[in-house]
Amino acid sequence: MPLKEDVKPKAILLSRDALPDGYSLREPTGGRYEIAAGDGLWKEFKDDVNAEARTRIETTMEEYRSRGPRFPPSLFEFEGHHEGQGLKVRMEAFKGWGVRLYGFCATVAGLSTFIVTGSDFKKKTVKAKARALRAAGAEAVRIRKLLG
Amino acid sequence: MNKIVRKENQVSKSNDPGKQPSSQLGTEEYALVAAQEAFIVRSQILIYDLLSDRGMTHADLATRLGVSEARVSQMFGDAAKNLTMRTIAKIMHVLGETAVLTTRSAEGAALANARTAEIAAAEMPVEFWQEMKVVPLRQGARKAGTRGLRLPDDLSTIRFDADNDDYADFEMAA
Repeated sequence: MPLKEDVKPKAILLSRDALPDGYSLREPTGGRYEIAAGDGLWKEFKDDVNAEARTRIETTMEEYRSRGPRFPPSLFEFEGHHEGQGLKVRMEAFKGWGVRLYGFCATVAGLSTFIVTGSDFKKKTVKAKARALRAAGAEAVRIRKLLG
Repeated sequence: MNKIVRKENQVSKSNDPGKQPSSQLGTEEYALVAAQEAFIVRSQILIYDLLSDRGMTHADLATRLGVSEARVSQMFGDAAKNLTMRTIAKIMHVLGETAVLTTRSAEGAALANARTAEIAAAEMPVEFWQEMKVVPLRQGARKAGTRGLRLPDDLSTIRFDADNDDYADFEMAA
């Protein structure tokens, strides 16, 4: 979807100012919802994930930017709460073909933003999946703390 | 013989573009995968929205379709098994809807037409609308309930939707 020229600079400015180092808004539309992710994770998602998983998740993300988090659980699902540093973060995931992008929703400079904090790019054992979610949860708590 | 034909038509996992990392696909190859997945995802979201609006569960839909709940769950899965054109039409029907297949360009054209009518309506002088309040039914209108009027100058025809007082469209004189 082409970006609206009038809103793109504003969204980028907000991401630079308000998001932690290494995180940026991804394909901002200036809509009600935005999505942010770390540079390394995003590059890996774009390059290494198989095409059908990537496009399935990207389509869900495109819809998310306009409608928010209302999806069938096969596309976007609540993954439990992660607690740490006195904070409790609600974790959710974009899903497709065994690939998961974990993260949480926060208000960043007035924008309701889903921040991707971790991933699970390959079908793994249940234990490995739990480890990936725990790592994403810990990063989510760190980001939440930084955002204040 | 049949077995050989089936084997030739099968796409092995290693040859299926959808299973390849995005970076290893050409632009068109990737776009083809994206077109399929996007269509499936949006179909699933539409069905999900219709169920949500009606307060219905997968089990309710399964009952109406006369299939198992597991089959309904498969329709929402990655592979969207059983989500065929026939099934989509059935789902829409049991939910009181009619399935219509359209395209972005067709949607865009419809929006553009509506916008043109809106702009034309906004630009009409007040006297014009006062005049239009007394437009009589035109004899021999093509569509039942449609009113029309031939106008001089730059507007040639105005049509009003008999079912919607807010809607009118215009044709400019050549």
